This record gives sequence, C-alpha cells and structure tokens, in this order.
Amino acid sequence: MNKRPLILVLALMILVCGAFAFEQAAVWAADYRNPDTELPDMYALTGNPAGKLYAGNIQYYRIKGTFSDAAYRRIYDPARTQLYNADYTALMQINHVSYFSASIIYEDLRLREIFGSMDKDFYDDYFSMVDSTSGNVAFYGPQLKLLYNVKLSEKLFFGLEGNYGVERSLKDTFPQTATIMRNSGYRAGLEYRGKAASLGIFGRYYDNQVHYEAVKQYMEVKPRTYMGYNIFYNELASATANKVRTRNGLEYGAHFSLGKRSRLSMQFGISGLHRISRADVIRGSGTRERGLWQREGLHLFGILNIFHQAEQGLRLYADHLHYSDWGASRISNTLVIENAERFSTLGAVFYYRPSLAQQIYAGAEARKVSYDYREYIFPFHDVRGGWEWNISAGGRIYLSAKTRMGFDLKYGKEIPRFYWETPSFENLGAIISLEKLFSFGYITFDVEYLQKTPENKPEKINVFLIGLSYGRK
Amino acid sequence: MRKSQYPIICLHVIFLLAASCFLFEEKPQAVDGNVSIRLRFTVPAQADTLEALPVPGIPVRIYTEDYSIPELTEITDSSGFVRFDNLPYARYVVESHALIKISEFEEAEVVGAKALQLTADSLRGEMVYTDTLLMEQSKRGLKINEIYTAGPPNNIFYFYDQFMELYNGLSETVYLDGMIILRLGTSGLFADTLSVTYIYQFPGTPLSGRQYPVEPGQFVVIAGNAFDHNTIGPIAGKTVDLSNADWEFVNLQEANGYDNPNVPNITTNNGRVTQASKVDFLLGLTGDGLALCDGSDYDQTDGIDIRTVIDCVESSFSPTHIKEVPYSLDASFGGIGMQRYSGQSLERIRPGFDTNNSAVDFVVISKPTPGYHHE
Repeated sequence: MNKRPLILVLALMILVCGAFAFEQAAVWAADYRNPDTELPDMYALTGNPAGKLYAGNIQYYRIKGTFSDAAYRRIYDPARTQLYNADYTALMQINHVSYFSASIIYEDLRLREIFGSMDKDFYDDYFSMVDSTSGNVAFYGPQLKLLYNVKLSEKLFFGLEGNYGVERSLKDTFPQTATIMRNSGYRAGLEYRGKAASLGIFGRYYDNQVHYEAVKQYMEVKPRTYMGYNIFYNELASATANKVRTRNGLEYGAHFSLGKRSRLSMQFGISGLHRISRADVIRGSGTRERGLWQREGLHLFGILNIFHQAEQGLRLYADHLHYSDWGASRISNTLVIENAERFSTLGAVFYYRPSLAQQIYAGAEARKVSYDYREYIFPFHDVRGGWEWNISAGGRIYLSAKTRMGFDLKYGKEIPRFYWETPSFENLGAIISLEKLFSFGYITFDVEYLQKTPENKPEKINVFLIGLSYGRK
Repeated sequence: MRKSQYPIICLHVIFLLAASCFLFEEKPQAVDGNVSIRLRFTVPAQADTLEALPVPGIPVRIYTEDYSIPELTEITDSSGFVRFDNLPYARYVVESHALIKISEFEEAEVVGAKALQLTADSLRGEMVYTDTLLMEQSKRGLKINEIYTAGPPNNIFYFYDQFMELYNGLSETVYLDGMIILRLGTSGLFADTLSVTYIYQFPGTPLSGRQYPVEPGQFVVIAGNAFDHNTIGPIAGKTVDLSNADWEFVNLQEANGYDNPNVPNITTNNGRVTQASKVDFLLGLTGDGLALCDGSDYDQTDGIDIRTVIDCVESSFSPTHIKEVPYSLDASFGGIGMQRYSGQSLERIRPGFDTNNSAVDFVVISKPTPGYHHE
C-alpha cells in the first residue's frame, strides 16, 4: 500500500488546524514533533510558501467540532465554547514547474456565558472594550487561502500565498454587540534548493480589522475600555458603543537546511516580527483613539535529525521566541503598558519504526518561560516564569491493510500567560484517529481530549474535539 | 541565476520594505501614572483683602470618573499644602470643605474645589501640577438642590419621572410667589440675558407675594408628573413616588396632560408666561440648563435678565459638552459620567451647597432622593 497520500492527509490536517485560526498569529507555530518519516518542509516550519514541497495532487474535505467547558476561567473568558469548522483544500499541479493550492474554510464559533467583553478574546488585546452584560455570542464566516509555488530555475523556487476572511458575530443580549472582522495575510518567499543544502528567505504582511458595535438597548450597560487588564477607562454612555481594532503585522526571516538526504540533517530558521495594534472608539461621527500597542519579536529555531529515515530516529530541536511589547494610551499620549515574554524550548523525539506498518514515538520537551508584565496607570507588575515541560508518546499502526490507527498522549505543565490566580496548569491530552482507505479515497475520524487543571484550584478546563475528514488523491 | 529572476527578488524586497513603513510608531517617553498634584489651600485673611492664610489640617479628597481608581484623601500640612502622587493623566475633581474657626464664638463653612484636566500636553512635560485654591464660603440661599432626569433602569425609554428639588438654605422663610423656572437654551457665555426654551411660573405676585412659603431647611419637590411612577409595570420598584410632590409642572395648552388635582401647579401658557411648546415640562435626558428666577422679568421674548436669577445649574453627562450657560451663573457643569436610564441623580454635595461651580457643587448619586438629601 502506498502510504504517501495518507501521510499527506495527516500533514495537511495538522497544518489546517494550526494555520487557519481566523486571526493571524504573531509567529508561525510549527510542530517539531510531527512524527512523519519525511522531514518537515520549510513551509511547515516557517510558513515560507516557496518551501512547500509538492507531493501530488490532492483534494481534501474536513469537518470538525471542538467543545470546551471552562469550569475554571478568568472573568472575561467564556464558560463554554463550541467551534464548528468545515474546510475544503485542493492542491493541483499546473504544469511541470508550478502548482496551486486553494482552501475554503467556514468557521462557526460560539462563546457561551461570556461576561462583558465585546472583543472576541479579551486577553488578546491590551485595549479591550467591555460592557456590563453577559450572554452568548456567535462568530461565523468564511476564509479563503490560496498558494502558488513556481520553480524559477532548476534550484530556485518562488512561493506566494494569500488568505482572506470575513467574520461576523452577534451577541444575543443587550447590548446586541455586532462584530465584523476582516482579515487578510500575504506571504512571499524564495528558496534555493541544492542537493545537500537549501536556503530561503520569506516575508509576511497581514492586516486585521475588527469593528465592534454595541447597540445599547438595555440601560444598565456601561462601556469601558481596559488599559491593560486591571484598569479601565469609563467611556461616555451613548446609544451605540463602537470600537475599531486595526492590527497590522510583518514577519520576515530566513531559513537554512543541511543534509536533506543524509543520515544527519539540520534545519535552522530565524525571523523577526513586528505588529502594531490600534484601538479606537467611535462616538457619533468622530473617531477617538484609545490605545496603540506595538510588538516586536525574534524567533529562532534549530532542528537536528539523526537517522530520520532509518528504523530508529531521533530529532532534537531548540526554539527561542522573544516578544517585547509596549502600549501607549492615546488619551494621554503616554506609555501605559510594557510586556516582555521569552520562551526557550529544548526537545527531543525518538522514533521507532519496526516496519512500514508500525511506528511509535516518544518525546520530551522543556521550556523556560518568563513573563514580565507591567501597567503604569495604576501600578501593577506581574513577573512570573519557570520551567514548563511535557512528555508525549504515540504511534501509527496499521490494523489492517486499509485501516490505520493513530494515537497520541501528552502530559505536561504549563505556566499560563495573564492568569493571575494560578501559577500553573497541569495538562493532560489524548488523541485517537482512525483512517480507512476506500476505493474513492481516505476517510479519517479523530477524537481529541485535553484537560487543563489549574494549580490549587478544584475547577478544570475540558476540551473535546471530534473531526471527520475525507481525502482523495 | 537568470536575469529574469531579478525583478521577482526585487519585488520581494520592496514588499518587505513597504510593509514595514506601516508598522512603526515612536515609543512614548512619558510614562502614565507619575503625575503629582500639589495644592495649597488658603482662606482670605479678612473680608475684602487679598491676603490669604493657609488652612492646615483639613481633609482634601480627589477623585476621577475617568478610571477605575479609588478616591484618595490627604490632610493639608501646616502650610496648607497637600500632595497626591502617582496619579494618571485624567480629569479630576479636588475638593475640601471644612469648618474653620473665625473667632472664639464663630465658625464658617468653607469650600475649596477645582476641576482639573491633566494631560501630557496641558502639563507641558512637567510631572507636577501646582496650584493654590482660595477657599470660599458656600453661598446660602434658595437653591436648586437636586435634578433627576436620567430615568430609571428600563428598556422602554421611560424618563417621565423627572423632578427637581429646591432647598432653602437661608435662616429665614422665602416665598415662591411668582418665581419662574426656566429650561435654558444656548446663551452667550458672557451674556446678560438667558435664552429660554421652557418657562413655568409659580402662582402669586413676584417679590412681594407671601402665599407660598419655604421654611429654612425645607426641601421643595417639583415633579414633571406627580404620581407614583412605580405603578408602571416595567419600572415598578425602580423609580420614585412623586404623588406627594409639592408642585407639579403643567402646561395649560397640553391636550390631555396629566394633572394631579392634589398637587398645586406651576404652569406655563397661563396668560402671563408663554412658550411655544405645548407639551409638558421635560428636561434633557442627558443634561440641560435650569434656572430659578425671582419672576420680576418674565418676558422671555428678549431673554430673561440674569440679574433676576436666584440660582442656575448646568448639567451634562458628557465631558466634552460645550457650555451653554453664562459663566457668571455657573462656572462649569455637573453630571459628567452619568448614564441614561441608570436611575442616577444629580444632587449638591450638601443641602444648598453652592459655589456657582456645578462640577464641584454636585455629585452623582445612585438613586433619586426627592424631599431629602443623600447620606
């Protein structure tokens, strides 16, 4: 049996899950523990569209539901969430030097019992706006992603990627908060692929615009704009409370790999990032600036693959990410927030492949994290840090000639960001997937469960995911 | 590399450079939360003199409606100075009122208050705001003591439970005969007449009438509609019972207007004072100008002479409100931060407390208090 399409389906699933969050992540998140026999390509590691390796035409459909129940939560977190996701991805070769990929995704996110926050994620913005009601809110909308990769010469590849999404929402309480989000992102990159080495550069620009409008019908509503997470500015009461958030980001970097086909191979990447986020309030016909914050960051990674195509293999990896933020009040034109975050990760994954039909892995990862968050308006300083760790194990086993089962188990400790009341979470996760080959394609069913237990708290956060996908070559 | 590939590489670089232009702002040098306010509280050494004496040992409080930060209180030192540190840039009200001993047998109630708007620009880079406040004695008299316009918590847009309250702070009886109450339009800030929207008059003869007395320390409630508004289902228990109001506004040209027969009326379009509007008295939901005049000038066609004004109050929920009442009657306006349909009311800090500066004379209270003062 040719297992290459199956692997491709799995790889696509991981990518789709990680890369298609509606809002643009500041930095590309790679999964270094990807247990595939093939080395992850540079698209998977850095997002460089020139680094995406063509592995045959494929069409792929997936529906997914994610349900979380947060018995433990922060004040502006929802009590429960339901995320329904459907996507279609097609990858096709145009000619012998270029190929094209398109994805259409539709997401429906429902946040239950969310108190006050008008923003989709209160803790994602230093200048979030809240009202004084609680209710349910649904976000829904389509996204489109296109990728074009062309071979410019024997060894030089060029890639271009664009994505665009529109999302709307409505909160089912007073005020009836309506949200429109427009999100677009563009990536471009070049990669030089030699026999034993490759070198690439890439850039990314994104633009995210969010317009919240709360139509005030209930009279107890008091809109406020938080300046950080502990102090708020009282907005003037008016019939409607409007907030506009504009977020622009730039990421640029380079990557390098050595020894692609040898028993020892290495991959390195470096990227810098900038993000600027502006929060304005609209009152009447006038726009009043409230806050602006800027993020700068540096991301480095290195991977060492040892015997990666042999029966036994080892992957060692290191990753360093550093963010530095500052936020300014546009009311007083002064500095009101500073934040620095550092994540230094070391990890190893050991693979054992006794046969083509069996493959297991075990991994361990340790991460030194530090957070230094400071608000100035009313002094607040939170410094926390320490070691996070997690261990994981899993496997891919063919139960029959046409049926494969995958399982993954994870356990670890996490030091959460912007959780003031607990120093750490204990995380436990399990994933089970079943893939079946039919004459018309592959069907995959997967189930994931994640439990987060805060230290010294009896309440837990439970996340349950169920997905069904169909792919064909 | 072929030459044809150069444009693509160049485009790549141009893309990065162009995108980066949108993404940088200068980090501000000034840090919020470091502002200090240093004030000196003084009183005139004698009447009609410019010499001022420091006022030691009095409590001074400072608060802001802008941010969710607690109210602060400090005591003046022996030189009358008080200092508040580590404050954010914001709008503040600083106020102090105290009893000071004038002689062995005399005390006077004095007040020093000021509304401050501190921004990085207004302080011009300085981190300390310094000022001297000359404390004044509160002017005693017949005052507009409370104005309730915001409406109760409701979602049926109900704000017809409005009332205003008068308070006699004098030590002798005053008479309401022929006095007029004005809802003001926009007047010049240095004008000597008031522009009028509504005009209502008490019965009786202005200045000389003695039929409608207000005893010292007495509150007078004048209702828009004098009935128990709690009888309206959606707002039951959230509003006021005005069935026992002292007076009720009635427009004699209003068709089918409510009129409680048990409550005397203050009227308009009554053959003496006239207005264009044929509806009942209503103040602006989010603020207005309101004046109590002695009634000697009741011809509003050329404006009402400000010399006849007994008391005048301007209010607005909006901090960016543009003043509409002459400075000589009210130096500012009260009610900033109030919310529509919140049940909030605007009342003087103390009964009859008046420095002709509504931003400091009035406080926002969580519920209306018709006929009595908040605690």
